[in-house]
Amino acid sequence: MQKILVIDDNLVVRNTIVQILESEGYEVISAEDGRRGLYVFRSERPDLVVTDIIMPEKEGIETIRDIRGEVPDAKIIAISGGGRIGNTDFLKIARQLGASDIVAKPLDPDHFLDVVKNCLAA
Amino acid sequence: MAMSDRSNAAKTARRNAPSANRLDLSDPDARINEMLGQVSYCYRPSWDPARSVIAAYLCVPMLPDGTSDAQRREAALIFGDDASAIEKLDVAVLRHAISVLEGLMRDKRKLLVTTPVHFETLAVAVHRQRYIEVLRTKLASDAASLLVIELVNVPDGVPQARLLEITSPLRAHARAVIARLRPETAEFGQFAGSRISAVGCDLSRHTGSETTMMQQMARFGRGAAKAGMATYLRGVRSLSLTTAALGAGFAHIDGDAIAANVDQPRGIVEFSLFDLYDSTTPKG
Repeated sequence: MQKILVIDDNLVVRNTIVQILESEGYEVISAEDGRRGLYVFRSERPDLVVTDIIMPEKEGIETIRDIRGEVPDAKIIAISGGGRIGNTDFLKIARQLGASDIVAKPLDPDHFLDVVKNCLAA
Repeated sequence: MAMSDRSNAAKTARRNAPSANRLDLSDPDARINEMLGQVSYCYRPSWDPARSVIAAYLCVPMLPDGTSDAQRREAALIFGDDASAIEKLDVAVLRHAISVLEGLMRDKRKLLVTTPVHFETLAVAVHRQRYIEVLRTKLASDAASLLVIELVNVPDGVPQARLLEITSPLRAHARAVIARLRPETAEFGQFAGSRISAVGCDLSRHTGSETTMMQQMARFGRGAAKAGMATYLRGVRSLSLTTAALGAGFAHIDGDAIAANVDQPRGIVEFSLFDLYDSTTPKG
């Protein structure tokens, strides 16, 4: 069974993502911020990480870069619902700085699962 | 030792002591002047993420803190709440900011310089007049377009009419008047139409968790946006707080997570979101 780590500080969003993934048969573990997420990543070595961007303690892009620094071929999906700044945004930067793929919130479950499957198969 | 000798020795010891103490009210003027003589200034770069530049600097007065000259902290924290001392500090800061602005203009560098002034100084008519007199007599008219005046220690619930009484005479001498509020501030209605261009808050001495700070900044951003006010955030010390500030819509952000204080503003610095993640720069 493939293992997925979900990192999001919003409990409702985190639980929703966990449910979506578990309904497809994935083993899912979760963390509430990047610092704890990194700790879980090191101990659990998941097949895929799904991380939010705006979080306390350690935000998502920094988390992606830390994971990528330790495991260069780690599979990581960045998710974010906001933060559009002028003509750029967090997800675009997350992609450029190490995310394998990106998904905007609110999540469309079907699209999200497609991205997850593609990322795991890559 | 005779009693008078002991007394003189004590006074001398007080004069020579490090300046961590609050004001000695037994000789307030002398003590204030002594402390003002020890004030140094640094400038805090403020990031405009929409334009990807640092083009504004906040003047921060600093005083030796405790036993070492190398340890300095914001002068206002040491001056305490003595209104006369605070007014003199505010005027000294304004004079310094004006001198820096003049230097920048001589070098044809157009940067905004923000000078903080305590609400207490402007709330008392005689103090306010003295402050405005400095603006009127020392600030060149072309430099006024580059000066931003930041009201600090603004209490909750100041009526709009009172704010207008304070801001109107300042606006004639500044590009903008902005107001630093408590991070917990939830009501912003009185600031709209008060000739205050932006409202902000300072997290540098916030002792709560990042989760708490992020919740407060989100609430602050929402409330200010509802009142049609632009927002700024001071004192962010981590990447996570910076991205949260961006997500909450703050238009200007400063703090160690962005850039360290400088002795003197030098020029416009290009600074994009990518620069936040520059691995060569240690972040909070």
